[in-house]
Amino acid sequence: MRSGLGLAAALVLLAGAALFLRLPDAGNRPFHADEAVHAFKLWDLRARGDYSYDPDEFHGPTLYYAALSILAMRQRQAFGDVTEADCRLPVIVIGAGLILLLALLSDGMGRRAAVAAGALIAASPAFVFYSRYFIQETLLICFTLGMIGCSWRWTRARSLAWPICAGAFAGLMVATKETAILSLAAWALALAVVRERCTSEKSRLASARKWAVAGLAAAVVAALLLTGMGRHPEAIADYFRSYAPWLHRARGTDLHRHPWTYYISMLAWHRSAGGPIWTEALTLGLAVLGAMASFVGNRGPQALLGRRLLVFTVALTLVYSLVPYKTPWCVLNPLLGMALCAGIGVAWLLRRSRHTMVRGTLCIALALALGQLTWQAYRTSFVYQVDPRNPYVYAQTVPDAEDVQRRAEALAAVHPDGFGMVVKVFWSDPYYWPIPWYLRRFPNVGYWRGVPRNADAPLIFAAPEFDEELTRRLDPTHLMNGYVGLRPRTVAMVWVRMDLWTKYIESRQRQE
Amino acid sequence: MLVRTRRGIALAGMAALCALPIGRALAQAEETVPLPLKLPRPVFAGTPKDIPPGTTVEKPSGKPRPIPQVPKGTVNIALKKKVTSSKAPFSGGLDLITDGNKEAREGTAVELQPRLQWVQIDLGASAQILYVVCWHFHMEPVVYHDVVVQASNDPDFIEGVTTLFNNDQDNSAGLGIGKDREYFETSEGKLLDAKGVKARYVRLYSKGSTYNDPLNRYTEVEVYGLPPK
Repeated sequence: MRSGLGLAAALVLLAGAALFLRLPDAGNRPFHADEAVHAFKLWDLRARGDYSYDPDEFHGPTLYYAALSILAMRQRQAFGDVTEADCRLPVIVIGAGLILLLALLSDGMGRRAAVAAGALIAASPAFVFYSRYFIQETLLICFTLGMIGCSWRWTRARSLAWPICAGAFAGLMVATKETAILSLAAWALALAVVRERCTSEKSRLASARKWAVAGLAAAVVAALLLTGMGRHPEAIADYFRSYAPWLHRARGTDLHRHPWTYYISMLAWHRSAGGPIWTEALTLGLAVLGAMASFVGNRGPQALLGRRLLVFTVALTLVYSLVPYKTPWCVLNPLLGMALCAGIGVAWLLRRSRHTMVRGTLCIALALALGQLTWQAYRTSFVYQVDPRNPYVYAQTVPDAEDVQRRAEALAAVHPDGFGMVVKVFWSDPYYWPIPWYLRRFPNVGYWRGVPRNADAPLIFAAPEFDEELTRRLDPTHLMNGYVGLRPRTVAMVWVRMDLWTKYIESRQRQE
Repeated sequence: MLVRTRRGIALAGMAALCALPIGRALAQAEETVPLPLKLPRPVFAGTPKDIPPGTTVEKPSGKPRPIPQVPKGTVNIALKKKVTSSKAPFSGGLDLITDGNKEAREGTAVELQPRLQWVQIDLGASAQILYVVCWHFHMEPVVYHDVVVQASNDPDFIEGVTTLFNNDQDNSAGLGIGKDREYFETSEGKLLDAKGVKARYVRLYSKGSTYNDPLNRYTEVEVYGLPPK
C-alpha cells in the first residue's frame, strides 16, 4: 500500500464489508433487558426533547442522541412504531465506521498495519456481535479510537485542530459511559511511560498548550451532552457522584462477578457443552507479535505508537480483568488495543518475509484465518445469537419473551378498548424487564411490587411466586394461560380474564 | 343316576383340567406390577432457587411421583425404534429420542428447529399403549409450549388419531383446543396415561419453550405397553 489513496480505498472497503456483516436482520435477537431500558430512555428524550443524567444507572446520552437521527429518518411518530432494528442501526453504523478512524494512525502503525487492524475489527465475532446491540460499548470504542488517533496526530502536526478533536472524542467518551475513565487513564499511562523527547522549552510550552486545549474541548463536549445541552447543570456534579455506585458495583455483585481470566479465556478459547468453539486467538497471537515488533529492531514513530498501544492494551486488559464486576461487552475495550497491536504484528510478519513464496503463503494463511474469523462472526450473530453457548450472549432475553407482545396484541384485537386494554404486571422486584418493551403499544399498563387489592384486569403478567395468591383470588374469573419465558430461568405467568379469553377463542374459531 | 353322577364328575374333572391353564393365563393377565420406569438423575432437584417458588400449576412436587400399576410384561416398546421428524434436526440425531439415555447431559438431547415441530415414533406394529413418558429437556425447569401427544395407526396422522395430551389452549398449533396445562420439565418426565389405545405411531408436537433459545428439544420418549405378539 504505497499511497494514501490506496489506504483510504482499503479502509472504505473494509468499513463497507463490516457494515455488510453487521447490518442484515438487525432485529433477529430479542431486546436484552438493558437494550429495552435504553429504548425507553431514548423515547423519553425524543418525546420530551430533554435529557437528564442519572448518576445511578443508564450511563451517558450519546447512544440516545445517535439513535434520534434514525428515529427521525424512519419517521417514527409513536413509541409503538419503534423496532429493535431502529435502535440498533446507529450502533451498527458506528461499529463499522470506526474502521475509517484507523487512517489517523496509519503513519504511526504503518498503512499495512492499519488495514490489517481494520480487517480484524471488521471480522471479529465480538465486534460484530456488540455492534448489533443497543448499548454504549461500541460507541465508547469508536470514541476511544478517535481520541487515540487524534492525540497521535497532534504529536505529528502543529495544528490545534488535532488537540481539539482529541479532546472532543475524550468528551464523547465521558458522555458515553463512566468506564471511559479507564480507557483515558490507560492512554494517559501509555503517554507517560512511552515519551517523545521534548527538545526545547518552546516545544514543552506548545505541548502544554495543546493539552490545555484538549482538556477544554473534552470538558465542553462532555458537559454539553451530560447536562442536556446546558439545561441541567447539576449533571456535572452528578457525573462525579456517579462513581460512588459504579465503584461499589466494580467489586462485583453475585450476578456479574467473574474470575480474572474471564475476558482472556473468552477471546482465546471458549466452548460450552454441545456448542461450537469460539476463538479470537488469531488476534491475540498477532497482538503478541505486534508487541514484540514494537521493541525488536524498530525505532522512530512506529516504535513509539506501537509501544504506546502495547502499554494501553496491557493496562486496560489488566484493569478489566482484575475488576470483579464483568460484563462480556466490556471485552471490546482491551480487544481494540489487541486488534491494533495485531495489525502491527501482521505488518511486521509481511516485512520479515522477503521471499515472494513465503510472503504469498503467509498472505493465503492470513486470508484463510480471517475467513474463519468471519465465519465465526456470522455464526455468533446469525445462528447462535440467543444461544447461551455463545460466549457473547449474556442474560439474554429468551425468544419466548416476544410472546408477551403477541399474546397481548392478539387479546387486544378482541377487547372493546383495543390497545387501551388495561394490562397489569405483578413482580416483587424491578427485574420484570423486558416486559415493558413488549407492551410499549399499550398506554394503560401498570406495574406493582406485589398483588394489589384490585388485581382484576383483562390481562395480567405475574412472577410465578404470586401463583398461589392469584389462584386463590382470580381462579373463578380468570384462566391461568401458561408461562412465558423472559430471561434464563425467569418466567412470567399469564392470566387472562375468562370473558376475554372466550371471545378470543371464538374469534380464532371464526377465522378457522 | 350313578352313571349321570359319574359322567358329571368326569365332565367336571375335564372342565377343571381345561380351565387350569386358562385360569392361570387370566391370573397372569391380571397380575400387575409397577411401571418399570427408571428415572434419570435430577440435575436441579433440591435447589429451590432453580424452581420458581409459589407455583402450584404442575410444578415439581419434590416427592416421587406415584408409580402406576401395569400388567406384567409391560415394557418400553419405543426403545431403539425409528424416529422421524417434521424437519431435519438443528443438531443431534433423532435416534437420541429412543436410545434409552435420558440423562440431562451434553449430547443426550436432539435439537429441533424453532416453531411448531413434531417427532414421530414408529413402534413397528400396532400395540396397546398404556403410558407415554416424555423428557423434552430437564437441565433447567423450562416450560414447553403447545405440547400435543397423539397416537394413531396412520403414519400421516389423518385418520384414527387419538390425542393423549394437549396443552395448546388457544389452538395455535391447529390441532384443537387443549384442556391440559403447561408444566415444568423435570427429571421425572411427563407421564401420560394412554388408556390402552392401540396404535403403531406416536407423534409429539411442541412449539418452543421458555428456554434461552427457540429450539425444540427431546431427550427421550418412552412408550410403555405390551409388546405386540
